[in-house]
Amino acid sequence: MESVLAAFALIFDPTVLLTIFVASCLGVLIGAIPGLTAVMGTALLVPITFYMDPIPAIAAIVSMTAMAIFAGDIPGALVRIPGTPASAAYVNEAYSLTVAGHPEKGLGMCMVSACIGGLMGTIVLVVAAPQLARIAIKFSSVEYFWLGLLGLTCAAFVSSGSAVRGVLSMLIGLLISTVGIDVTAGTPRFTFGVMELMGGVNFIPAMIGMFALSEILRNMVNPQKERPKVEKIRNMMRGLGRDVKKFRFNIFRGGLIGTVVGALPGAGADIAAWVAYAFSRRTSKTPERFGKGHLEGLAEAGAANNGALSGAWVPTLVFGIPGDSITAIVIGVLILKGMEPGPVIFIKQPEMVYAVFIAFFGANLLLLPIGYVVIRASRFIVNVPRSALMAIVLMACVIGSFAINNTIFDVGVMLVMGLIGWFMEENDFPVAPAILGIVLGEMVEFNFITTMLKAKGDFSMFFSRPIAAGIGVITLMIWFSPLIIRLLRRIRDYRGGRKRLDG
Amino acid sequence: MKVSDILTGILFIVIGTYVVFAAQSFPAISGQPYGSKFFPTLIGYAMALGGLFLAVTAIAQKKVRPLIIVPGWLKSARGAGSLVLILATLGFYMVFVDRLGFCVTAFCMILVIQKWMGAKLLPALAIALIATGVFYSVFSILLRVPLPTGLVERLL
Repeated sequence: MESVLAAFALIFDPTVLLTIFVASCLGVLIGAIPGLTAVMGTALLVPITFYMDPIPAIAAIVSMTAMAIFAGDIPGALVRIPGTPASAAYVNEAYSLTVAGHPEKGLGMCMVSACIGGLMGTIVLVVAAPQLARIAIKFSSVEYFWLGLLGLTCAAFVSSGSAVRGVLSMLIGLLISTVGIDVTAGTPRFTFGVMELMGGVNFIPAMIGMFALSEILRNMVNPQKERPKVEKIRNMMRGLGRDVKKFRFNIFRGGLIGTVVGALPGAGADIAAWVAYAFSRRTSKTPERFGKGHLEGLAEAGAANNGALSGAWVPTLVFGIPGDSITAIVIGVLILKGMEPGPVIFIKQPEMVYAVFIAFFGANLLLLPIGYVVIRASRFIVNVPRSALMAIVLMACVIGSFAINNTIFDVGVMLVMGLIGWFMEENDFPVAPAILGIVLGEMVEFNFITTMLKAKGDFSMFFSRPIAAGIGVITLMIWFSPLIIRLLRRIRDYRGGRKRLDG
Repeated sequence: MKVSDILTGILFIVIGTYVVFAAQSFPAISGQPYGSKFFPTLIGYAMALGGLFLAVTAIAQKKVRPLIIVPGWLKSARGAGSLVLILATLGFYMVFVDRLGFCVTAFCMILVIQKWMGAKLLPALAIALIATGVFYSVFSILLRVPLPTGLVERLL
C-alpha cells in the first residue's frame, strides 16, 4: 500500500503531469500524420527521455504510444491512409462511413473503443504482472534461456505469413546482437577492428534507423497519390452512447484479444487489430456488412490495438522479454534508467511498477478529452505538407542517434540499419523478429552458456525443472508445428483418397 | 527494391558461410565445450540453411520471375533521386558537421530536402530556420547535448 501511495506521489508531480500532457499531444501528431508511426515516435522520443528522470520518461512513452495508436485511426477514416499500421485493419470500414457523410460516427467509436480497450489491457497488466512475477522470481538461467527462445520463436512464427522469412529476420537480429565483446568469454566478435563496435551495435540508433529512417525512405522513394480533401467534422457525441452500448460486447472482446496478442512477443497492435477484425467478422451475425461502414469490426479492432499496447508490457516488465517493437525499445530505456526489467523490479522498486500502471490508466483516460479536441481539429493535422515533415523527421533521426553517445559513428549505425530495415520490408521480411533478436540475443546466449557451465555440457539440464521443461516443450512444438501440420494434412488427404477409392 | 528470393537466398548463404568461418577463429574457454564461437556458428549455419531453403523454393516455383524487379520508382528519376538524396544529405552531415557546426549543416539539410520535394522557397526557408532553431534549443540548450559547434554556435 505504501508503495502505491508513493507511486501516486511520483505521477502526480507537476512536471510529470506536464510531461504526460506534452507527450500525449506529440503522440496525437505522430499518430495522425500518415508516415509517422508509434514505434518510430518511441524511437525518436528515447534520446529526449534519456535526459529525464525514470518516471516521467516511462510515462511519456506510455502516453505517447497510447495516443498515437488511437490517432492513427483519424487519417484512416478521413483520407483512407492509416496513420499507423495498427489502424490498417479497419481503414475501409472507417473510410466508408466518411464517404457516406458520417466521419464523426466512425471516429467517435474509434475513440471510445480505444479508451476501453486500453483500460482493459491495463487491468490485465495490473492483475497478471505481479502474479507472474511471483512465479518468475524462482526462475534460473534455464527458464530464462527457454523464455528468451520462446520469445524469439513467437516473433519469428507469428509476425508474418512465411515462417522462413520470420526466422531469417530473427537470425539477422541475433547476428547483430553478437557484435562486440562477447558476454561470456570477453572475446571481441565481428568488430572488424572498429573501436566503436566493441560495446556492440548501439541499440537506440539501430532502432531509429530501422523504424524511422526506413519509413522516410519508403515515404520519399515511393510516389504518393493525391489525397482526398477533408471536410469539416460534426459533433461526434450524437448517437455515440447508443453505438457503444450496442457493440459493448465487441469492444470488450476486442480489448481482451488485443491484450493477449500484445503479450505474445513479436506481435503488436497491428497484428492484434487484424486478428480482432477477422474474429469479429467470423462471429458476426451480419458479416456481409463488413467493409461497408459497419461499426462492429471497427469497435472490436479499435479496442484490440490499444489493448495490445498494454498487454505487451506484461512480458516486458515480468521477464524482460518485449511483447512488441515498442516495448523492445522500452527495455533499452528501462535498463538505461536503472530499472532492469524482470521479477526483481516488483520487489525492489514496486513504486516504479505501480507508477507505470497509473501512467497507463491516466494515458487511456486522457484519450477521451484529447481525442475529442483532436478529432474536431483533425483536418488541419492530416494536411501537413509532406516536404517539411520528411525533412524535419530526418533531422530528428540524425540528432536522436547522435545524442545518446555524442558520436557521429552512431549516425552511421542509424543509416546502415535504416537501409537494412527498408530492404527487408520491401522484400516482405518482417522487421519485428529482427528487433527481438537484437534485444534477446545476448540474454539467450548468456543463459545458454551459463546453464552449460553449470551442467558441464549435459543437455538434459534444460528439461530438469518443471517450468523449464514446460516452456521448452512449447517452444519446440512451435518450431516443429509447420512440419506437424503438413504431416497431418498428408495423412488426412491419404485417408480421404482411400475413402473415395473405397466408395 | 524487390529482389528475387533466389538472390536474397544466395545472400543469406554467403553471409551465413562467412559467419561460420569467421567464428572458428574465436578462442574457446578451456575445458568448456561451448564458448564464444558456439552461437555465431549456430546462427551462421541456420542462416545458410534458411537462405538455401528460400532459393530452392523460389527456383522450384513454376512461374519464372525476374531476378530483380525494377520498381516504378527506380525508373522515375524522382524516386531514385530521393534515395540518393537521403544518402547524400546524411553523408554530408556526417562529414561536414564537425567543420560547419550543427546549425549550418542542419539548416542546409532541411532546406535541400524540402526543395527537392517541391516546396516553395520562402516557406521552406522559414521552416528550415525554425526547425533548426527548435532542434538547437531543445537539444543543445535544454538537454545539454554537446552538438558540434561552428561559426553560428560560437556567435550564439
